[in-house]
Amino acid sequence: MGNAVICSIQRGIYIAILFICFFGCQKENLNTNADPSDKLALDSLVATKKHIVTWEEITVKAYARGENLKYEWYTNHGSMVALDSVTVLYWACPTCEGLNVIECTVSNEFGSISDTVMIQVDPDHVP
Amino acid sequence: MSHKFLLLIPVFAILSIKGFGQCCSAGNPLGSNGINDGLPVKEWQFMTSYRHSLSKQYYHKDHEVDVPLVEKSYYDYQSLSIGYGILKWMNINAEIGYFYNKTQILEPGQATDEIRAKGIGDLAVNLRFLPVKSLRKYSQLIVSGGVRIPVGAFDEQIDGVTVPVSLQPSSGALKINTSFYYSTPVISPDFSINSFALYEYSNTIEEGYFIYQYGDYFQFSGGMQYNVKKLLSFLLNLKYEFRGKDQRENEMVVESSGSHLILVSPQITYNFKRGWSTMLLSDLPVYKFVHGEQLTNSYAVQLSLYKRIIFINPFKN
Repeated sequence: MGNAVICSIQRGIYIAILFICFFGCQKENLNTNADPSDKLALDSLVATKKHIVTWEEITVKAYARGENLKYEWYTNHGSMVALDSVTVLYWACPTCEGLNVIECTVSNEFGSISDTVMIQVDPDHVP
Repeated sequence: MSHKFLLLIPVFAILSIKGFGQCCSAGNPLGSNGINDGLPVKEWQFMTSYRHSLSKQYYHKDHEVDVPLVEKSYYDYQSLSIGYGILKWMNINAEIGYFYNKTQILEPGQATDEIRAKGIGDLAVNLRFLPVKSLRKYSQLIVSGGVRIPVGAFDEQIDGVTVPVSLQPSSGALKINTSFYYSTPVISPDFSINSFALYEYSNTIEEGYFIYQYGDYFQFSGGMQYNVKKLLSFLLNLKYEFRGKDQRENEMVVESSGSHLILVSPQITYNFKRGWSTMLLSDLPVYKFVHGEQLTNSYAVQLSLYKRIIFINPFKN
């Protein structure tokens, strides 16, 4: 009788330890999986074309994660206008022929992150 | 108002407006009012000018071409300049201005109707020297050297998107210039001829991914002026402007840059009482040759008002 009670108690302790270990580990695993980039991430910057001619229009879209994201767009040569919060329309005039950079910076209260895409602009025709 | 003063007003017309072919804007003002008739020591000169410049023709070499997307470009700019006579043979002038708008109008059906920026432009500081005060009666020889400092806005945005460099209020580049001006009366003191030469060198811009150097700029002009009763003067200048090709990163030459322009610049000046003067002037291109394809200036017009003042110390007898 006494041994049975002790065994039951031991079994209960083992189960409790396993329970704690299981959920404790699980909680630890959850913490590991909570990637800081979930709060702010810029996964990719996608252009419909990366090799264009002058006056040809393309769109560039930013795929980002996080809350309260603010987008800023910059190019060293060419023109851009915002189509929506994550997409811009890009084109270049003859003065902007060459390998140009489009940069998108995404920011929120956790910081900012940037990515670039290169666009080659060639002459539309040989005059 | 002396004849000498009237004789030097032409410099204003020569220096004040610069419209040259480029990607998609109407160009930047040169940033110097140009008046330099040897301000007397401790005399101040205040001037404000309003300029409108329009560019709506794309050129390839010397003929107009059609391009998609862009319809025209223009700017409205107001400047304030202050001059001061440091010495009898030297004065200093500083000018800064504000772009009420620097606008590119797009063809109908585009994602947006226009791209527009506004803000403070470049700061220009010039020293003017009169190495020879007067070669003959009312003649003037003026040598000038100056710098343009890009203090203005160069990161203007619309909806989080940076507007094109050519529409930014500041040129973004540190520039130095030197000029020579000579004017002398012929036939009568009321009729004079003048000539002017200006060279400007632009430093390389290095702003993030933007590495760029504007081509050298050279201007030569000759003109004539007729004064009517010291109150009214008419001026007509013929100008030649040359701009060298620009360079990008790795000294890559921008083929669609650089130009040769010939312009006619008429000007009317009226001198009010008590030292007030007003000027109306214009730049009208009559011949344009550009490398590649560039948007060229159609016209520029400017209205100016200025006054000279000597501040008198009320506590000094």
